[in-house]
Amino acid sequence: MRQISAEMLDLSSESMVSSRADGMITSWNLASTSLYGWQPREVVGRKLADVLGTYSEAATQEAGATGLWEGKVERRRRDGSVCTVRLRLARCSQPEEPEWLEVSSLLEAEHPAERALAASQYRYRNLFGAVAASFWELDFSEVGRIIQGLARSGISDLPAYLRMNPGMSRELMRVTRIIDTNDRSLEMFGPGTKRELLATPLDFYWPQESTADFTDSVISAITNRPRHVAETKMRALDGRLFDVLFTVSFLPGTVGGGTLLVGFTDISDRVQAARQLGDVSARRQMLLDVPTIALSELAAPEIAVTFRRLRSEGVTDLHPYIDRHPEFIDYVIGHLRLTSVNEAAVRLFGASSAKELIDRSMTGIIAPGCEVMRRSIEGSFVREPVFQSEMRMFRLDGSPVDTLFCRVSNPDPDRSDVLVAQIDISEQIRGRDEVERMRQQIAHASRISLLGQLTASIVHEVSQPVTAIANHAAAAERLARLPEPPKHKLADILSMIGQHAVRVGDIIQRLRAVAANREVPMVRLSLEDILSETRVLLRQELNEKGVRVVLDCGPGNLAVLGDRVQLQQVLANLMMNAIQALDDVARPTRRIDLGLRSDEREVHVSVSDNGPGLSSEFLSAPYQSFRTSKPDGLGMGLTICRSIAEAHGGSIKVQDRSDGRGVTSTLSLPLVEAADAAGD
Amino acid sequence: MSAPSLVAVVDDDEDVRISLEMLIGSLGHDAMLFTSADALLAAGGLNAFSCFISDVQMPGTDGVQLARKLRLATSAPVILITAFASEDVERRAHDAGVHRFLTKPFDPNVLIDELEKILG
Repeated sequence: MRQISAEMLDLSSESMVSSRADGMITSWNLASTSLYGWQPREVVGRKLADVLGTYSEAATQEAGATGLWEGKVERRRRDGSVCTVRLRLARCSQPEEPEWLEVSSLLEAEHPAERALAASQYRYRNLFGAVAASFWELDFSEVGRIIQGLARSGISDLPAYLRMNPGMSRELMRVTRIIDTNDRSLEMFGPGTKRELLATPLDFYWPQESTADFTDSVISAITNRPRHVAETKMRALDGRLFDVLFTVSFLPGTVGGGTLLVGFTDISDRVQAARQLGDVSARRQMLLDVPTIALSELAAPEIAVTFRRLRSEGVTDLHPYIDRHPEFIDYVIGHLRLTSVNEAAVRLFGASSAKELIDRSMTGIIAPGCEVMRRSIEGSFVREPVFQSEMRMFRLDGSPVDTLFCRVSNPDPDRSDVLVAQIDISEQIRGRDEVERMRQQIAHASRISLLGQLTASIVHEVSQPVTAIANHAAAAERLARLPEPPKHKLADILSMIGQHAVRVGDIIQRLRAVAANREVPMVRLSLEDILSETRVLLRQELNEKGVRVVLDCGPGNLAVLGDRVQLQQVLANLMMNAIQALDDVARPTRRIDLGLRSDEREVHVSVSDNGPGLSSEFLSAPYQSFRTSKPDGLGMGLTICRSIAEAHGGSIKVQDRSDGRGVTSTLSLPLVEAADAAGD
Repeated sequence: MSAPSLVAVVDDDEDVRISLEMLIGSLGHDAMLFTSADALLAAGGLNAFSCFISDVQMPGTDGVQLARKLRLATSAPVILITAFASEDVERRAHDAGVHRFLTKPFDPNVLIDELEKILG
């Protein structure tokens, strides 16, 4: 008995519990945890009679006499429910300490639903085990009870209360029971055994710094959102921390409610990449913090006169005045004269010497109608002594330079001269854009990778029962054609076909809960912005392939409601398809036309290429699901694009161009009143 | 119909295993089921089988490795079936000398034709 390790017992699909002669539990395998709900650490060392109930008199007598007893026993589980198990009790007579071993499996349960669950459990495990992402099934029912208690005790704003009390979130983690995890979880959270993974309390996996992310997911659950996605840090069994993207789905119709399916995708590499990039720009910043500051003095006597005149006319605020007279900004720029500059300013403006700058106006150096300049002028007018902002200026050769611009006015109100200090921050701006672009690509990539992994899982899981259905049907057909068809066998086969179809349905339900993004967060977006962002995202591909992009945005700013990243994904996908369609077109003539049109109901974004047009195989199955993703991770296939478009209340059409060779893909979305779209 | 032949079926998915057994049975042949390649190799007596049908992705020895080992032990053809088809896997399968490579879900009539050719 004792040379059998706990891990070996875990391989059994039947519950195995061993106990000493005095009734103390000495081992408890994984299947016991699934069947009775207790974790090994909760019961080892307790009396078996207290945990599961006593054996009948007859059982202990017979097992004592013959070494074995078998029969039905009623058992109570951790959650108080009752189940009937088939039990085999064996006495292993070791010379020094006799041990009892019991092997039990579920015979019938209280709820009919649970019976169905037990039947589907094996199948589900199969599904669960094969998925490429790490999945955890959690019992959240105790959390639900605590939350209800809090609500009853008069706390009205639960989300606020939870955010204020991280200790409560830690407590909620501790009462969450881990029901099951899949094989991929061991790779991600290991090294360790599945037993260790399941027996470790949930709060171990959530480092303190991630408490708020856990809290947010609980708040999602309380506020009845069917799905929650976030990035956070998790801890593995060996203590190392790693970055994950996690999704939480609340499974409808699970027994007793309160069961959650949580999926984790490891994104450490990507987060690491972003962090390194951040470090690079931080280092750059350090170098730039000790710059040579460009200093210039400017005089503007005419402007001082104009300011006095406006004040005498009763103007107190220049803002509405400039609204009426936008040319006023350029008037000021044209009358600001450089009276002295330092060496750094000469370099900044790209001049050959100070002489080239002295007495020059700022026309050409500051862009016409410059918005930052306008704010500086409005500040001067109300005698704000200092104005500071970022400003893009132009060197003498016309090339742009981003600066941190600081204007200090002479405290004497009769003087018009100002001192301007500037630091060249072009590098940082570039770094910042770079980080921002990286960040977007990471968000983009992690979503796509999760999507890709889910897609692969669906394909694999569904193909098994579908294969079985096809084989059974072919076998049944052959048997039915025999002169004397074996009716019983045929009936068996048909019943199996039915069961497999149910399995497919189960898989689809479970994966739908994870994969389906039924709730699109609706934000007002400008399609024009999204289109140009997508262009930036694909800049590299466009440059490499030498594709010219022509944007025709039509009039007005067209706004839609939707999710920025998802719509970017759709457009990126349509553009990638267009880029690939141009592979066989001569480089100089490769061209993609982006169009933005609207009618009174919808906005239409079109992506047209001048490639060879649609292939006949595409025409026969345009939305062929689950094509393998292309290495660049954007090949999500039109199927997913179409479902994103539909989730936004829109549609996607792909057809040959009406005006010649090539293909036009059109994304149509419901129009919201044309107005300035908010950013995020 | 000649004397029944024996086909080895290797797949870690129970539903697929049983359905293949039914299909082979409907052709008048017998099937022996194995949950893994290692179980088949451990059972020995490989010469009893006229044909092998195996999944590719399995815990332990995978289908392609199994095909390589079988080629050294027997001349009976190996048919691989997989839900994770990729060009790479398919190339490895053909390099291992498999008779046929099918992607799940496949058309059972294709498999029936192959088996009738092999088993007569």
